[in-house]
Amino acid sequence: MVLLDSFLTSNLEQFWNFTGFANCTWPNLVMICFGLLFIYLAIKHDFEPMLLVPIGFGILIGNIPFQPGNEIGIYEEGSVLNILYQGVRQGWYPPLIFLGIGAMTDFTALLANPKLMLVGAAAQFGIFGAYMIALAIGFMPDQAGAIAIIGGADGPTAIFLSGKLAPNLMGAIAVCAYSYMALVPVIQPPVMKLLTTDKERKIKMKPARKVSQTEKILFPIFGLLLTCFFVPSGLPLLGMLFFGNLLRESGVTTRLAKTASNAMTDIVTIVLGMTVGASTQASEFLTADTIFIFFLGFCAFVIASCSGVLFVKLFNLFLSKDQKLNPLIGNAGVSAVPMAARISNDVGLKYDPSNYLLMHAMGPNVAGVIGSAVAAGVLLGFLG
Amino acid sequence: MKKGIILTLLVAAFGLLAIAQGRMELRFNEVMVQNDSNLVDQIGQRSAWVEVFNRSYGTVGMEQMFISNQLIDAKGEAKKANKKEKDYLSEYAAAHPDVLYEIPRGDVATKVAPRTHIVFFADGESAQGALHLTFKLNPGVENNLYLYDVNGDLVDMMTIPANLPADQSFALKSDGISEMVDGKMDNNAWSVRTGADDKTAITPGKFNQRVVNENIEKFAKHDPHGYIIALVAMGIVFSTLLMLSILFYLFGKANKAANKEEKAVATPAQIAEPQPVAADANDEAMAAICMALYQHFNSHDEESGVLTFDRNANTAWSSKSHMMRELPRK
Repeated sequence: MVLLDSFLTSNLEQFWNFTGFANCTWPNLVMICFGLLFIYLAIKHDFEPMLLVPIGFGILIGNIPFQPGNEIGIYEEGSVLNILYQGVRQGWYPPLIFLGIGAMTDFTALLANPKLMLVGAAAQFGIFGAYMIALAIGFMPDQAGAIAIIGGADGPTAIFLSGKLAPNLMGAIAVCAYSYMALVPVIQPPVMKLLTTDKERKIKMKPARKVSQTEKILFPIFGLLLTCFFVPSGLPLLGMLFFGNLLRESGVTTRLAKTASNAMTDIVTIVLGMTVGASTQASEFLTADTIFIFFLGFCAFVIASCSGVLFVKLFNLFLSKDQKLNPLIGNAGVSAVPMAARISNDVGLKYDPSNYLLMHAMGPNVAGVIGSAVAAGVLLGFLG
Repeated sequence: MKKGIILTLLVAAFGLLAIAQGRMELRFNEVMVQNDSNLVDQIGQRSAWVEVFNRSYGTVGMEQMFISNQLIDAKGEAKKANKKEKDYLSEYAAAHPDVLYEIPRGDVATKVAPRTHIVFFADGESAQGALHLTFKLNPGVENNLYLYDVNGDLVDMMTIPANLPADQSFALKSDGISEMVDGKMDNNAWSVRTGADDKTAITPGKFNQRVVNENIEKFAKHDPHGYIIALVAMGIVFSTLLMLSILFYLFGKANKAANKEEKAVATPAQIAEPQPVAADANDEAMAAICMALYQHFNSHDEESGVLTFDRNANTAWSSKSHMMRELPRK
């Protein structure tokens, strides 16, 4: 009886030591609270639910305390989570997401008015503005580049670049990028209102011209050749983006385009979101760097929105009266498709209920996707 | 069927080309001839060693490649003997193990990961494993080393100076950075390493040169505030998108001009005469006729910004409904 008792006690003790309760530390609990907050915001307030639910739940998964050495954790080689995490670590998932984005994106608005591409380029100043601030704070150039890409307002690009330049900061950068993308409706309208006059907000843009199917087919081909000859380091993202778009526009690969834009994107989004969330373990996430990253991410979004709007105002100085652009579409250059374009439309409608800017704003919005991928390629080329 | 075979052959050819390309990226990287107190092998013995570096970004399998201490004209000799180069070299290696070593198949140790090193022991004891050569290197004399691809192509060669002291190595200054000039090695790429300090450390299986990200150091030093990178990078982003924008502006113009020409070519005779509409035709009928004409003339499903009707372009190959088998009826 005594023997059985001691056997049971030692086993129970061993089991207790194995449980999450015995291994729990307060940083784990803080991170679990963060995860719950993300899930709450996504479900209750509809903040980017497709991303914040997987990320939030991933945070819960990544911060359950356990005894290391049993091939459970995301950073333990050979564990299932670690195998899934390789897609983030090695940069497989972001290009696959870009394939889906390419297959979903209609570049017609951009092709109808190609000068809008420059608005998408101008908004990328958010990235480099944040880069300069990050250097001033004391980050190394590679870390600064990885953080600054948050200004591109493009989750997969941010994950791709930070995975290459500063893998230890990737979790915080990804969470920051997606959080601010969800907060675009809060961040951008005040900036837009501040930088525009009442008269400018009411500018009505010329309706877009009809774009032929040939142009739509040629765009991904020439887009790829031109951008990747300039910035080959952007090839994984740009190559997949334009490939996806060719699948969409060619008219003969409808089934592939549908799979790329629906099933495949959904699968990769689930795995990407979950593993990125799980990678934000307390020891890596609860640091002073994370606070700086969130601050820099905010700066990057504000600078990007400002530079987009101000560039349109500057551009208008050189355009004839009937060609003038509404500066409210400038914010859409930050990418964050299609949220940023919707904001341009909503703000425009507030000042003139008959002024629909959505299709015009989609131009800089999709140009922003290309612009941020090019900017990521440039940073990778310089700092990689 | 024929197309399928051609495609398979093409894919296989490209695959083989890629493998061969990887092998051609192997380089002799560091060698020690007289090893008195340096690297020991798996059974604790010291012998001469030869380090090879895979400078490619893919894993390279070295199985069935050859390492020799003599120059062998594999192509010429194989031709004379009317044999394939591979067979000739294999037979030569079997007959002259003191000259040529064929790396055996099936040993994972001979797979070299990207940008990593593999070390062979030149101890003449190939029974110890795939990483032990069948020949030795001789101290006090000039030693040559040749690395041959499976088909007898010379991948790399090096000459080790006769006066290389004991426990000192002869190594590339920068890992993998050497090219043969007229079939001979580039002497300037090599140096003797004494092991006296960090700069001349003897590094079997490791990088000869400390790997640092020069770009980051450079930018941290010369562009501490990030102005240069910001300006240059914004310039690149702008010029890329500007060029794309100009290109598609021109495409748009060309497209517009082509449409105008098409319209101009269509003579009034080619356009069907509008038929008088019956007096009792109601508005719905008119709308239906207009809609049908609009769809017909405007390739409706290719337009954006208007109501689009999905064209059913499915075939027996792409449609699930075509591929589904009907359930058996009761």
